Amino acid sequence: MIFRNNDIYQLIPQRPPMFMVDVVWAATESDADTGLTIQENNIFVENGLFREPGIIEHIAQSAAAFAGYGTFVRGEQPKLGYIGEIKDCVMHEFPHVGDELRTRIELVAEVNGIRLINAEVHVQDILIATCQMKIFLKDD
Amino acid sequence: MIDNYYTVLNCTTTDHRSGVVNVRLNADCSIYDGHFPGNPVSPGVCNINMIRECAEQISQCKLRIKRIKQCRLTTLITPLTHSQLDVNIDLSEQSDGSLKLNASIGNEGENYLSLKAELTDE
Repeated sequence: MIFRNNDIYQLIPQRPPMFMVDVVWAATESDADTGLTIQENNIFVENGLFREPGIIEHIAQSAAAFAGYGTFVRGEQPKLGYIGEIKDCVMHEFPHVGDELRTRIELVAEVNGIRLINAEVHVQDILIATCQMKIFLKDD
Repeated sequence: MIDNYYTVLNCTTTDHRSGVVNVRLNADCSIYDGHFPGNPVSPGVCNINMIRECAEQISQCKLRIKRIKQCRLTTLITPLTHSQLDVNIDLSEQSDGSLKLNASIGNEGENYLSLKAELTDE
């Protein structure tokens, strides 16, 4: 099941202008593939480049959409997720306006509502960023 | 980059390598329309970007983040509960020409976010 644009509102609580995932291609228990096309009016674009906070937020929201996919399948509302820790996040290139990010998220561990994930962001064959992140999911 | 996210109230540096920037978060920034609707929470990534911009102000150089070695976000920051913040910047030059950054965001002795990163000149 592919989620696009507003469909993703069912998976994550973020909304424009802070909405940084526009497609969820697939998700399983252990990984997910997401994407984002960089629009010119994206708040994290500067001089035609999608800058650091945009890349990191895209990873965080991809991880949130991955978690939200699980809650959606169980018929629950998406939970608020917060970044608890970022580790070894290397930003090789800044994507350009019009580029399509393709992102792979892998779940490394999940303990007491804390999810540890690894992320890899590409534009076609170009590696944009790799990152490890701890996300806290808040129970209502 | 993000319009109206914060206002610099004061910036103190003696050597353009370390210093403190006192800022006020603006609750009417449009980012809070979406993060989250009816529940404004300052995005961690915007605070990391604010650190980068404060490092630019201190060093008088345009900087990009090459690598975040570690960033710990220990306190939920909102513009309502944490309107004034100190951004502490400490830069040191590496042998490869990059800058090592140790930074934190806090207020009145409390630490909300700490960042270790490598920056390069743009």
